[in-house]
Amino acid sequence: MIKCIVWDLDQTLWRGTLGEDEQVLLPEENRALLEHLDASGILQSIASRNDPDAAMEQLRKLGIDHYFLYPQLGFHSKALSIQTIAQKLNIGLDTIAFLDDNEFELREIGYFLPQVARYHAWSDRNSLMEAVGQGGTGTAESRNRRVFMQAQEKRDQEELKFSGTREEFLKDCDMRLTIREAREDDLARVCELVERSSQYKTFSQTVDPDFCRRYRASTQSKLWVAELEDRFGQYGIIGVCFLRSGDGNVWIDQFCISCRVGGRGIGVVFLQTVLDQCQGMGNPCFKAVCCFTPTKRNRPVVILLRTLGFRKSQSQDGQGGLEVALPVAHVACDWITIIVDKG
Amino acid sequence: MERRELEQQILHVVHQVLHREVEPQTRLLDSGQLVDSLNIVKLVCEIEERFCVSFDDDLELDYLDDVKSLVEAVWSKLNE
Repeated sequence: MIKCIVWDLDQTLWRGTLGEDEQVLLPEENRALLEHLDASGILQSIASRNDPDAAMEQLRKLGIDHYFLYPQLGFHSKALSIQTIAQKLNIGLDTIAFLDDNEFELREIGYFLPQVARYHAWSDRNSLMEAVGQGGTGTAESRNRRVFMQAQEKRDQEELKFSGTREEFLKDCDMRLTIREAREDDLARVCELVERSSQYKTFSQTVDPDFCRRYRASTQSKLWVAELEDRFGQYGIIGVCFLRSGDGNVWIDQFCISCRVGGRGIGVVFLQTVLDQCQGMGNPCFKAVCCFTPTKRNRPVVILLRTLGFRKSQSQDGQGGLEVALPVAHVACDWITIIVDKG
Repeated sequence: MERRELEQQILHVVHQVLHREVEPQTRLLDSGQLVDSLNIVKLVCEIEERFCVSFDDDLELDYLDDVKSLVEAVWSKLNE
């Protein structure tokens, strides 16, 4: 799945070479593509060998500077630029597509970063469109993804400048986490989040809206979502948890949070809150069992589960699983205000 | 490499990644204590890369109890 397009500038985003040609022109098809990708929730950035000030000034003149997150402008290697973008956006290199007019640059990226999809700026346009799909999922989170990321960028900059401890900064962010059962109009986002998550996802299987509806309809199971806002803005639904109870156990069929909000204790708070809520689902529960698929990227969620006391399950043969006795040990995260919305 | 040298190198890596003073008994990952999961992930990746070992198949994470356990786990893997 492509999550971010990284543009070259000269002869790719615009026609002409900045600093050499009298002027550069933005082709109408590129302006339309920028808008289309943005509305589809595909992030965009830049890796270009150009003078940073002149390039930013030109982007502003063309009225398109707001589309780009963490643009990498300078005379260093484009492979390094793309690695930096992946790191800043906290996404895998295999979710990035690089667009350039220069065969040498494309081959260089292919050599150093073979996971990155590469497209020639003009001759591969149809393949690029096929790869990114015809449109996003239509969720508010998808349409506003770039705005969410810009709020994140501002937050990161303020954290760098903040003189106190990390905990003090987290308190200063004024994070409010609303935890509630999913509604019908959340289901597209639930499916999207399960599909897109990689680092903080317990089970690899994706879900569709019908599965979610059946899950919600059952008296044995509940589908929980978590919405986050802080003083930098709203992040929409950033967490999903499928919980099923029976035989004294709570089964975590799926748990995931957006990679954007990792490292702030949000996943820990979300999971411990919904496990607490389970005790009120009817039958008493003594153990939580998490269905788990280890992947190359989901080590962060193992660490999150371990923080709550989960250990490797003895009962599951072949398939990985982690379990913990209930109630789970409470982890102090006094920088997050938890609101359980019982509808 | 001597075990003592390995311990010194690992202490140095932990200090660099977590930005705090550490000693062999320093707790890394405890039930009931919140840690910055991203930093712990960074630490594991750094250790894997630096010492050419892999913890991919380990779901227990006992090696992250404290620095001493981490040294023990890396030492065992290097001598497998």
